[in-house]
Amino acid sequence: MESDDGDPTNSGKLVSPERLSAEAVRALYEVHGRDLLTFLIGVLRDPESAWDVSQITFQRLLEVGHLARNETVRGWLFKVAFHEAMAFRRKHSRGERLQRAVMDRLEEEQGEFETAVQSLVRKEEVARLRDLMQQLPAEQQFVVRQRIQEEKTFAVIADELQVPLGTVLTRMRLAIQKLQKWFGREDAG
Amino acid sequence: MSSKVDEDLNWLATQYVLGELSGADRESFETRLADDLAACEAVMSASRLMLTVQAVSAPDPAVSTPATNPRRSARGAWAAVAAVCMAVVALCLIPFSTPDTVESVASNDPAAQLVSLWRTGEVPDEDLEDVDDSVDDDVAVPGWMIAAVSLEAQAKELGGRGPGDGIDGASGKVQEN
Repeated sequence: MESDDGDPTNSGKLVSPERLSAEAVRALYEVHGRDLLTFLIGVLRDPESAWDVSQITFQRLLEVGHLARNETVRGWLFKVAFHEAMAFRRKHSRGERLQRAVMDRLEEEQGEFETAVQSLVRKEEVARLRDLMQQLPAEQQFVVRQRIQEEKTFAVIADELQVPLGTVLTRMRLAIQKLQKWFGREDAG
Repeated sequence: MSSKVDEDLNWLATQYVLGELSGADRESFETRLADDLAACEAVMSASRLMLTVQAVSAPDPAVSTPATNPRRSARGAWAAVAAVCMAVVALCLIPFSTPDTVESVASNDPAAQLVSLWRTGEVPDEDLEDVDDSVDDDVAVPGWMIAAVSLEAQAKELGGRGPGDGIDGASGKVQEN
């Protein structure tokens, strides 16, 4: 994966006697930043927290990325990002406040954060997905919309439809399988 | 990704992103995420799909191209509506608010003369006879305009003030029709 995804290091390994340059980190951010932020939103379910952790992750890349061995760039980034996300969540679950420096940086980068989050969902992808959803059977479409757009739990949806919970889960799973297959395939193309 | 294993992983990742996993299952999956790039990629893919599905239901301005602020877009839309409204109002008022236009139209169009009369309260003496004659012929004056001119004329008469007999004469003529 790393060999053909535009990875500037090309070898997929961060082997360097010195710290990575800001330009190198920037180039890696261009390649992996969007996917990493999307991953972190999935983990933390909060775009703002995800943005913060993604910035911390690339800061770590700048500081210690060159020390990584036998790691792909992408793998290293995801591993560090997940580790930082867990640390972020623990910190907040204990009710601790963010460090002042982090808060200041967040405020300074608010515009960049908004732009980055908005760029995760592209207009053409939304249009394509809207078309793909139309191709789903009506009962699957309904469950997807109720769960993701209306944010109802599967249990509530099952109750409203007066069908077993397993039926709702199966419809959702089948829909997600199709959407990911279609979406991923067309995205790759 | 098409194998059963991959499909199971994708479904697990989807449930994780949706917050549907129970405590133990969640912990187990997070342990896996710490060291499994494929699992991380599955979460990324599920998260991306969820974000896009959410955007499908959002109104267009919320789905933005990069560097477009939805709030800014909404303000822009309202500004555009306001600009169109102002333009329409301006177009409607231009014939009645420009002195030169009022004079030229008033001299040719009886309905416009009436409007001018109502707005300014004055009609040049030389035009007064023309107004009377033409109104007799074929002018379709809206009822609200007749009532407005009439009431205004009566109010001025009762109040002992007004621009002069011309108004009364004109309004009286219209009332007769």
